[in-house]
Amino acid sequence: MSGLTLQLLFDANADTVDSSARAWLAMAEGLDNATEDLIRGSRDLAHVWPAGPAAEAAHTRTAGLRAEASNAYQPCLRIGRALRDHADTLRHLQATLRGITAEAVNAGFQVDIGAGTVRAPQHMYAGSGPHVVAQQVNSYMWQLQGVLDQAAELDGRTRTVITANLPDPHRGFGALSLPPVSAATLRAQKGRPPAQVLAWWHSLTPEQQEQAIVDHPDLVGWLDGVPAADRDTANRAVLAREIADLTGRRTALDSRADYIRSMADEGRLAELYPGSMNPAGQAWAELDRIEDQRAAIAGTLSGATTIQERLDDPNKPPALLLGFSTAGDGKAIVSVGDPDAAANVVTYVPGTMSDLPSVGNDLKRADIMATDAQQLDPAGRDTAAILWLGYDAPDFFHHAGSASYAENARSDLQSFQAGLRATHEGPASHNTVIGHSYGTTAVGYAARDTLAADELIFVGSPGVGVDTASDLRIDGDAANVWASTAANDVIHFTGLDDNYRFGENPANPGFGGRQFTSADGSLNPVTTHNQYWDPHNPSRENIAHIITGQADKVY
Amino acid sequence: MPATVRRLALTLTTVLAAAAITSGCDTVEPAATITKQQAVERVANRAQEALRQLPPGATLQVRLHEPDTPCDPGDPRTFVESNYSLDYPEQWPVEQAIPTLAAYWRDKGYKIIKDQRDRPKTPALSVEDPDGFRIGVALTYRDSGRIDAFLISSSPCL
Repeated sequence: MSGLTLQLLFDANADTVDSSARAWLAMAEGLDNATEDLIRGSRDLAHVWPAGPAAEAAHTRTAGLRAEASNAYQPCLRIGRALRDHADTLRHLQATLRGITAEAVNAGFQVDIGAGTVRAPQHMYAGSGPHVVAQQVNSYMWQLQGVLDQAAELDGRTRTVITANLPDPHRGFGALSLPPVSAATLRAQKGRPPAQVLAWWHSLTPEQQEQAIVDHPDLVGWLDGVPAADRDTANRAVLAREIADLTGRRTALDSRADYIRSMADEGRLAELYPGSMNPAGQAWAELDRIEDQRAAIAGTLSGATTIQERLDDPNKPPALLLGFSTAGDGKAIVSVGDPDAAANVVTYVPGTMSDLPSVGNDLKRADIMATDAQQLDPAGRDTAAILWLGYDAPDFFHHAGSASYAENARSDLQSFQAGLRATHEGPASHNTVIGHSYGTTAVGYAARDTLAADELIFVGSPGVGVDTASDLRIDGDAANVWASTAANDVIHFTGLDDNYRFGENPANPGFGGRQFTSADGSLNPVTTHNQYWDPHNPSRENIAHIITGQADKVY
Repeated sequence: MPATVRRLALTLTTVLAAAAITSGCDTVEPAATITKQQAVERVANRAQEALRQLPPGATLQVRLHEPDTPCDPGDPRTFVESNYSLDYPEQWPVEQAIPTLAAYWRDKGYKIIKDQRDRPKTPALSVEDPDGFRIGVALTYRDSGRIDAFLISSSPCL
């Protein structure tokens, strides 16, 4: 800004700039939402109105409108952010200016902000010597000039951003779409710190985000740092696709089996297996293979359908799908409640024998924890309870002696937790990670390095990979590490004394964390191992108190 | 812990786990004639019965209804849990809910399984009938001054 003076800087109203910033940012958010509505609302236009001159004109106009609305978002956002930075920096420079002025006046100098001068009264020259006083005057003048230079630089920077982002008077924001997001670009984001992924995601236009979700839902759905609502959209698409695919494969297998049986009934198996010396044997072998494949599909399909039904259940709190895959044993991350908005967020890591086909029971536990926490939160705030089946848990008890499952879960759980921090809106949420059984080992292995959580809870643990709570690196300390093992829990047999399969029993006071009460359980030790979420078990309210940050209520 | 000892412990665990799985659930068994559907109805009726002991004007809203939670993973037997919030009008004596129900359940001969009536912010009481069905009442004094009330009704493993 030419002609920038100390007086102008002194009198500038940062609040006004701040108000403008808020207005631009609100407009950006409104544009973002409206553009998403426009994109989703016009997505099926080509299917319902496929051909004809009018249809083509409508498609062209709609595409242009989508692009123009989408292109307007980033410029608004950039201007809003520039103005917000301008207001913040302006306040800082004004405070610096006041500080220099006050210091000079206290030292006996005369500061004239209007004229931009610093003078020393005559008597100072007599007292300290002219060279010293002149040096001091010079120093203050340089400091003031430095503030002015910074203000001028700020002014120029903000002006550049505004000028560069204002719409063209003739073409507006343009109706050309920006380049689509490729699979390679998305893969390159994986593994980056989630906060950086979020910044990258926000740098895309709404149209680009939508395109990435539609074209690459498998990649967007698992990308930590992408907001929960966008991951949910992507994963629901994957879920619907997988259910359709699994159903189709099952139908094809059934058709093939029916065909084989009908050919057998008609005595025509030789036609089915031409050239075979033993067509009947070949038929039974194929039917056996079909039955095995069908059983595997049925299990996966059952888990997928269970998730779909939970997502669609109008009688339960809304749930978001933060990850879904049918590869291997299948993986799923389901959040009861929105983790980006909730005041409390708990991530539940299940243990041995947890997999996609049996996901229903673990989903119930997530529902239970969300319900209990809301009941006991003193402010009645929302809690998001996430089932994190983002790892391959041991399939059988005899697999649960291997640390490899926990090792394999480590980096994914760390990244997921960091992602929750990155994408959370408003004040930071109170984040807890709870493991059950082998899930505690997976949590412990992740926390040996670092895990973004305020609290850890271990229930029914065979050890967590460390012998003392202070070796777990979380956002809290050893006092935020909680454990409980029921008296009759079978897990006590995984070691002698308190040395368990994967280290010191975390429910032992010698571990250095804190313990809480669970019901002793039934006489069946395996049943007891699964009773921590049973109704009226004290463990439930203790877990709820920890999740909601009420350590003083835990008993 | 030496590796050999840990291996021994693991083996022991596997054996015990396998034995326990085959031995089945030891929780309180209800009357053999009760079906799962009857259990669902009894859990709901028990909550409505509690509501009827309270002054008129309040209603129950379902917060959580799990009619078929497996007692163990893979176990065909299940239990029922229903969790309700008690919605009540202004001036309704919500703080009388716990003493009223405590007296009613005592007269019915139910056994107290959790007594937290002395907790200042979250008093609660849970009882169990002879068939192992449980019901509890809980209050939460919110920071806002509002008092929320809840009923939790459940069945044993069936």
